Parts: sequence; structure tokens; C-alpha cells
Amino acid sequence: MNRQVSSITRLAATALLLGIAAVGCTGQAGAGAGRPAGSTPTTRPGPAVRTVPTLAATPIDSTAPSATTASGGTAGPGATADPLDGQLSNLEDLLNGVNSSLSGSNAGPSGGE
Amino acid sequence: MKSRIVTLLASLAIGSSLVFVSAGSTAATSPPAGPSGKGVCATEAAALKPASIDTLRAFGDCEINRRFTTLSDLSSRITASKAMTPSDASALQSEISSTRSGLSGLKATVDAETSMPVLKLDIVRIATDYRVYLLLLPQVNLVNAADAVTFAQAKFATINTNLTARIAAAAAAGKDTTAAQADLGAMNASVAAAVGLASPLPAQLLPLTPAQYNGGTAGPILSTARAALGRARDDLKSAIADAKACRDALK
Repeated sequence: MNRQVSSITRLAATALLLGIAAVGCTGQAGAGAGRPAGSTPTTRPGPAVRTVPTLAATPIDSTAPSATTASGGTAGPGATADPLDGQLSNLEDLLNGVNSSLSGSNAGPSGGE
Repeated sequence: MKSRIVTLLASLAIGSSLVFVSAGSTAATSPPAGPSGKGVCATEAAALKPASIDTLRAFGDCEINRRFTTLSDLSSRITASKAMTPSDASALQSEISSTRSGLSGLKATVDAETSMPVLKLDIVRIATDYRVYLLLLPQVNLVNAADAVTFAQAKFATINTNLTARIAAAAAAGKDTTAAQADLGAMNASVAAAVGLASPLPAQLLPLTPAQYNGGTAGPILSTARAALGRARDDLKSAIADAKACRDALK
């Protein structure tokens, strides 16, 4: 009797572990898609814990565009760096080059002719 | 994941642009310093009192050598310039090469000269026959600046395309784009004005010769070009401000 109870317990435990593993795999492949409401990766035991670093990277990434947005980039969540910023920055550098050339066009103290 | 890839690509694009721009900044010419400067031959100049063949020759050699240094510097800057057109770069490199060749010949003359009065005339020729500092150096700098202004036109064309698309999108979304359109129009007008000022200059500057400088005709052309490029620079500055204002008006 005890042996039967023990077998059933082991079977139930194995089934539970397999179930948890399956849920964990689904969570990794779908990046949380189809996750039950209210369930968070951090509360999931066992294999699901391995999904935490992957999922945790998403909010870290999403903060980068926010910082860019603050400096004049395209608004909205998930926005990337505004290429216009880089283009304008290039032009400002080009303008500095024009200034340097204009300054250098005066022989000044290096002349002596 | 997709947004991460997009972010990475955008970062690489900006990084590449910065590499390009830093190369362009390096290419920007500036006054020669250090070994090519005026003070380099101060010791030799002081030794001319009283002048002798040896002191005159030492002074002449020093003056020629500092010009060699300046010519090498100018040549390197032309090679490194991302804004200068290949034809302008070729013309200036050719001028530098012939100047170097001429000065090498003059150095041989100076080193062999035994007559003091003739040696004095030879030393005067170091400046008057080549005008490295009063003509060639400004030519390189001004042509580089003029080409940079023209080079900027293509960059502004890209920005114009970008902002035009944004204005269209904002208008389609029902936003008032009047201010943005005015800013974009002002940007394009400033760019056109800058390019109009700068683009004729290389053709005016490149043919100038030391003889024209000595005759008084090259100097005013250099001054006029310098003034025009100052205005072109201001126009580009305004154009950048207009582009930013346009972008901000659409936020």
C-alpha cells in the first residue's frame, strides 16, 4: 500500500515537473506569449527561472530608446535613435571644419613672407 | 529582439557617421604650427648680424626647410580631406609638388652661391617666387572650405528628404505643419545661398600664382573668397538651426 502511494507520488511529481518544464519551454520560445494573466517569470519555479535573464533584457533595452527620445529622437515606446540627430551632428562637424579652414587661410604668425 | 536589432543597427550607423565625421574634421586644415612656424628660423635670423655667406646660407636653408615642412603638412591634409573634390585635390597637390621642386632647386643654388649680394637675392626669392604662406596655404584652406560647403549640400538633401516625409506624415495625421514647412523652406534657402557663395571659389582660387600675388591681384581674390566663405558658413549654421526647428515643430 505504502509502495503504491509512493509510486503515485513519484508519478505525480514527475508529471508536475514535466508540466512545469513544458510551461517553461513555451515561455522561452514565445517570450511570454500566452502566459496566464497575473503570472510573472520571477514567481515561476524550476526551469522557468532560466527565462528571467532573457525577459529581463527587454525592459533594459526599452530604456535606451527612451533616453534617446529625451535628446530629440522619435517619440514612442520602442523607438530607436533618430538618424536625423546623427546627420545634423555630422553637419555641425563639417561646419567646424569650414571654420578651421577659414582660420587656417590666414597665414598669420606662421607666415613671415 | 527586433527592436534590439534595430537599435544596434542605428548605433552602428551613427558610429560609422562619427568615424566619417572625425576623419572630415581631421581633414580640416589649420595654420601650420611647430617646426613650420615663423619662429623656427629665429636663431638663424639673429645670426645674420653681422651677415656672412655662411649665416645667410644657414638662414636660407632654414627658411626653405620650414616651407618643406609646411608643404608636407598641406599635402597630408589634402590627402586626408573627405570634402575636397578629387580634381581640386589633384590641382593643389600638383602645385605643392612644383613648389617643392622649385624650392629644392633654389636650395641647391643657395648652397652653392659664393657671392653675398646674389645670395641675398636668392633668399628673397624663397618668399617671392613661391609664396607658400601668403598664397599656397590660403589656397589649400579656402578651396577645402569651399568644397566642404558644397559637400554639405548632399547631406542637407538627405535631411530634406527625411523632414519632408515627416511633414507629410504629420499632415496626414491632421497636424498643423505650417511652421515646420517654413523651417524646411528656410533651411533649403540657406543651403542654396551657401552653395551659391562657395561653389565658384575653387575656380577662382586655384589659378592664382605667386606673380599675381606679388602684382597685387591675388590678394583681393583671397580676401573676397574668405569673406564669401564666412557668409556661407553662417548660412550653413542657419540651415542646421532651421532643420532642428523643423524637427522640433513636428514633435
